[in-house]
Formats: sequence, structure tokens, C-alpha cells
Amino acid sequence: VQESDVQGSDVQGSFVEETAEKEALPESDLFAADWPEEGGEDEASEEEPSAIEPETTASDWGEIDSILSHALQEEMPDWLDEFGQPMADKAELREEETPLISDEESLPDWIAQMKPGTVHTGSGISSLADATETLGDLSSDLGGADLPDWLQDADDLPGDILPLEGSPDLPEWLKSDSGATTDGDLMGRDSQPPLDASSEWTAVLQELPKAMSAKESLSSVELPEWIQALKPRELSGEEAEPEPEKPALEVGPLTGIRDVVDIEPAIAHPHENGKRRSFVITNEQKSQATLLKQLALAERGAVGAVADDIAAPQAALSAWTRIILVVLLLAAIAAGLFLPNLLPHAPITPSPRVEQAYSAVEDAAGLPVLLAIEYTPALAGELDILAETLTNQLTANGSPIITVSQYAAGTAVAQTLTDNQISLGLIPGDTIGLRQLGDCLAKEAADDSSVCNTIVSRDLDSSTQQALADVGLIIVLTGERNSLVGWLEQVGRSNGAPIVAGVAQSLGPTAAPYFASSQLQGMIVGMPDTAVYQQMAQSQPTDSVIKQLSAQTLAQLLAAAVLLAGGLGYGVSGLFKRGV
Amino acid sequence: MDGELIGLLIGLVLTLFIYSYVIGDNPLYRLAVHMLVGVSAAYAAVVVIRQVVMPAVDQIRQNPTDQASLLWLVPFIFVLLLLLKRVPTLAWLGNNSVAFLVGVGAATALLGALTGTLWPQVMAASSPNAPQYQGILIAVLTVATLFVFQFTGRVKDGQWKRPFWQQGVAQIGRAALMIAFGALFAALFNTSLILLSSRFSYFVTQLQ
Repeated sequence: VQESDVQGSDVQGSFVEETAEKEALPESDLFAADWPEEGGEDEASEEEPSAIEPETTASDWGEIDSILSHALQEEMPDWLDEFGQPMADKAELREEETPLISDEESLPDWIAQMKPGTVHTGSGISSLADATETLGDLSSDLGGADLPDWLQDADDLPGDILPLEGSPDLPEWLKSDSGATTDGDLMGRDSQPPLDASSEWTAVLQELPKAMSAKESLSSVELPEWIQALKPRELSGEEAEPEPEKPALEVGPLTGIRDVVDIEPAIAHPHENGKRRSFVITNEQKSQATLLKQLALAERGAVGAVADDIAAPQAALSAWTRIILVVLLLAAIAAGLFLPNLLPHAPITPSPRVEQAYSAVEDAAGLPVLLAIEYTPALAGELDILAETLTNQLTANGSPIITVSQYAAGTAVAQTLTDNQISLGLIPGDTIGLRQLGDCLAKEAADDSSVCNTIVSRDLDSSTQQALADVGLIIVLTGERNSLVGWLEQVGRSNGAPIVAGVAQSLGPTAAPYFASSQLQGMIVGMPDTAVYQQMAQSQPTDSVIKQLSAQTLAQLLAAAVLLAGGLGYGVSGLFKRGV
Repeated sequence: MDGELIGLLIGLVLTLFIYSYVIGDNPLYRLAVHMLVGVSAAYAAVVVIRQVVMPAVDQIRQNPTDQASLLWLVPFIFVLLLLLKRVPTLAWLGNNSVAFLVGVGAATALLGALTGTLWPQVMAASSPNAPQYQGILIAVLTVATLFVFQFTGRVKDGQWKRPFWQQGVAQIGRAALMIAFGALFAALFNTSLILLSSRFSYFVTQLQ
């Protein structure tokens, strides 16, 4: 605002200077391109346009003069009239014209306060130095303008503002005619307007009320202490107390960093909760809770109450029940193993799956048979008898036996079966290893034995390669579903050799679909089928097989009796509980 | 006392430790289980080293510049990267080995399942040689069993409910599942009886 005011005063001052000089010029030159200037140089320049203009008579000028003056008086605003009128008329006009700002009271305070030089200290926004620099830069621009009084009243500004008078860069036309001291002083402290300041602008500006400082304009108020405490240091003049530098940390992730905010003790040091509130339970609430509990128990019936009362004894009863059952079971097994055969023994008609298995083994006579021992000693009690039976039959048929296993313990089981065997050892990798074995068997079948020289990481000798090339039957002995399915999926379709499975009785339902889809040429399931197979291969099953079948049968009968008795007892007790 | 008798007695004691689970979980049972797992793992490790790793090492040692020997560098590198899984900062290096194993294994298993189980079973069920009712029954029970595990429905009165038509089918499937699980349990029980009787007979026979 200050700059604009200064520039405005600059324009006003230039008008003031120029009007005084324009009076001596004919009106035709008022609108000339060049403003009137002092000095010979300017006169020469003024003469040039006049020299260029065509010559006119004095009478013509008079007529033009009158016309122009009349036109100007009618159409032109007042402020332009003043330029063509003599000083006396101007003086009259000054009297007639009302001042731009007649009354000081009508001037809003915020305008009255917006005067250069009334920089409010302590705002922190603009400092005196900045204002000084700004005003100092403007000093050369103003070029000795005639400033109004309110611009000249600022006493707060430092005196180091360079006076404009005598400035080498100041053009002549900006200098005043009177050479008053106010030309050099931008803010013009204690400087008086020029004696011959006949400008209307000067008069108008002089009539403006003087600017009041911030202290004068604002009414004094007693600020409370807490507001005064918020007073910026720039106003209070207090110097900021230098904060003591915190030492750099020596430990922790922020080592070497200063001014680290300390951890809030509430976070760093866990605090104990205070005493909990003690809830007060009224007698009425107690009675309501008791009633609610009784209602809930009544809905549940006697079950909930019984469960709470006999939880511990019931656990003891279940343990004794298990022990009794185990004892009965062992008794049944012992009776089947050591007592004479209580069950009728008659030749059993073999099932189709056992017959086909036997036929497949017989058809592979003289051909190498790949025997996969896919079980561990945990299932040896059920599958060892079948493995021995098969190996005996194969040996009797003159079929070389090639043993292989995916279990480390299975290789040990395979070694105990027979000494006359070609051991391929361990096939690791689950399905990947079986796929490799299947590809090897397929290449051998395609009479491309040169390709399958190694299996897994072992070199195959010529006899092994030849045996693999002539495999006529694959027998898988397993109690795990994954092993059986892996052999059927990865090896079963690689070559044309049939696959016969000897599985534990627990795997019987899982293997049955593969026999139904002819993926298995034959199947021997558990001890019953082993006994039948032995009957076919050896005319009768061995004594151990018969005893184990007897023990199994008696145990099955015992289990059926216990289940039946338990079901009946549960049903009867349930009927009594329901009140039937 | 010869070694076989000592081994027999140790086996008998450990077998009784396992059977003590009838009473409940106890330290003797846990001791026997820990020994079983430890011995099995150790035996498997020895067999793998002797039958898989050592032959490869011998082959490389005999013919270091052979093409087959050089090809062994690839699995050995994968093995080393897999071992780095134990180092937290370098565990990411073993991701490629795991990815190779899982990817190849899954692909092989998937291909085998499609060509070795699913397709042959479907063809067998639809075979003209098979009884017609059997194929239809298998298809109906299979679909019904799958519906048991279908949990799309609406929430009504705060409870999730299947659509009306799906409830009946799910009931049939649930019945089929019950029959199948019962048959499997009965077969497993028979195997367990055989194993118990064989073990009982072994100890009695050997100790006589």
C-alpha cells in the first residue's frame, strides 16, 4: 500500500509540476506527445514538432482557441479544466471544490492508519529494515516528487534514506521549479511543501488528516497476564534463551543424534493399574441371578446337572472301560491263536480278484517280475506272509525277482525276503521317482535299452538292464493309498506289464475301483485273501495264517457283540430317561 | 543272554510302552514314539546317503569332466540353496529349489491323477460291460457327496440355510459318506486286529 501511495503521489507530483508549465503553452500543445520540460534541450525538442506543423494565422488560433475552451468547459471534467485556466481561476476553483476528503471523521480508521511510515513494530511480518530498503529503492524512482503532508509526517523511518535532491539519475523534468528541499526527501521529514505548490493535488493532500501512529489510533487495553505471556519476543525485546543442547545419544538405534525426544515415561515404564472398582451387588440382583440359573438348568434338563456332578468319575469309568475292552480283546486273540480251531474250516472259493492275481503270477513264469515292497515293518505282520508266499511262488516258477521300494525301511524288508533277487534299492522322489522308473521301463519295452543306463543315480549293469527290459509282471505290496495310486498312475501306463496288488485289508475299499476298471490285473486283500491265495498256490494255507484268521474272527465277533450290547444299552437307557 | 534275546526283550518293552496308550497319554508312550520316529528318520537318512548321494559322488569323482558328471552340478547347487533355508537372511535363495520341487511334483501328480485315475474311472463307470444301475448309482452318489461340501445358501432368521432342493441331495451325500467311512473304519479295524494278533503271537512264540 505504501508503495502504491508513493507511486500515486509520484503521479500527482508530476501532474503538479507539469500543470505549472503547461500554462505557458498553447492549448494545442497540451496533447502533444512530449510533456513540457525545462532546459534548452527540451525546448529544442519542443520546437521541432511546432516546426513541422503547418503555419496558421493568429486569427485562426484565436478561433480554435475559443472553440476548444468552450468544448473543454462543457465536456471535460473539472480536473482537466484546471490545466488551461490561470492561477487565479485555479485558486477560485480550489475554494469552490470540496476537498476530496472533507472531514477527517468520515475517513475510516483503517485507511487513516494505512500511511507509510506507520509500520507497526512487533508484527514480525515486515521489519523496518525491509521497509527501509523498499523505500530506499523507491527514492530514485520518485525523483523528487512533491509529497503530501501525511507522507512527510513519518518520523519512524531512519534517516539513512538517500535524499533525492542531487541524485545524478534524477531527470530534469522531475525536479521541482522551486528547488525545494522536499524534492530530495522521499518522506520529507520536517520538510515543507514548495512555496509555489499551486497544484490542486497538493492542496487536497494537505487537507488530509495527519496519520496517527498505531499507539494513538488504538485504545489502550490492559491485557491479562496470560496473553502477555504469549507476546512474541520481537515485541517484548527479549532475547530467546538459548536452549541447552542435549548430548548425542550413545546407545540405541539413534546413536549420534542430538535433541532426541525422550520417551514418555508412561510408555517406557509400565505402570500398574490401580485398584479395580469393586462392584456392589445388591440382594435383589443376587436373587435374580439365582432364579435365572435355575431356569437355565430346568431348560437343559438333568443332563447339565449330571455332567457337572459326575465329570471326574466319568473319566475314570471311560478308562476302566477301555482296559476291560482291551483285556477281552486280548483274550479273544489268545483264544484264536492258542486254542484249537473253534471255527469250521472248509476250502474257500476264491474270489475273482484272487484268481486273476494267481493267473497273472503264473503267466509271468520265467519272466522277470518287479516286486515293489511299499510297506514298513509296522505292516509286516499282515503283508510279510503274502510277500513270502509270492516270492516262493515266483522262485518256483523261475521268475527273477527285481525288488524296489520307496521306503528306506522297505529296502530292509525286501532284503529279508529272499537272497535270489536283483535289488534296485531306494527310489526317492515319490511320484517323480516313479515317473522316472516308468519312463525307464517304457524305454526298455521299446527296445531302447541304451537310454536307461541309470536309475536315480545308480548305474545299471547289463543284467539289470536286461531284466528291466523283460519285465513281465509288476507286483505292488503296500498298505498306503498314496503308494498304490502312485504306482498305478505313474508306472501302470508306461509299459504293457500287468500290475497285481497285495494290499492290507484297510486298503481294500480304496483299491477295489482300480480292479473294477482293469487297471489292476489282480488283487489280494488282507489275511483272508492271503489264506485263499495260499490255498491256491500251496493247496492249503499255513498254520500261522489259519491261527491268525481265527484270532481275527473271534476278535471281530467280540467287537460286534460289544457294539450290539452298547447300542442296545444306550437305546434302553435313552428310553428310560425320556420317561417311556 | 544273546543279542537276539536282548533285542526281543527291548522290542517287547517298547511294544508294551506303545500299548500303554490304552490307559491314556503317558511318558512311556511318548518315549516309545520318540524312539520310533528317531530311529526311522536316522535309518532313512543313512539309506539315502548310501544309495542316492554316494553313487553320484563316486561318479563325479571317477569322471569329473564327463557330461553326466557335470550335470550333477545342477542338483547339487539346488541342494545347497535349499540348505540355506536354515539361514534367515539367505532363506530367499532356497525359494527356487522349493519352487522346482513343488512345481514338478504337482505337475507330475496332476497329470497322473487325470490320466491314471479320473479318466479310467469315468470310462469304466460308463462302460457298456458294467451294470447300468452301478454307473448311475455311482454318478448320483458322487454328485450328492459333492453337494455335502457346497456351502452356498441364504441367511434366514439368523441361520444359514441351504436351498430346499439342495438339502435333500446333501442328505443323500451325507449318507453315502457315512457308509464309506464306516467301511473304511471296519477295514482298518480288521488290519489292526491282524497286527495285534501277529505281534502277540510273535512275542509268545519267541519267548517260549
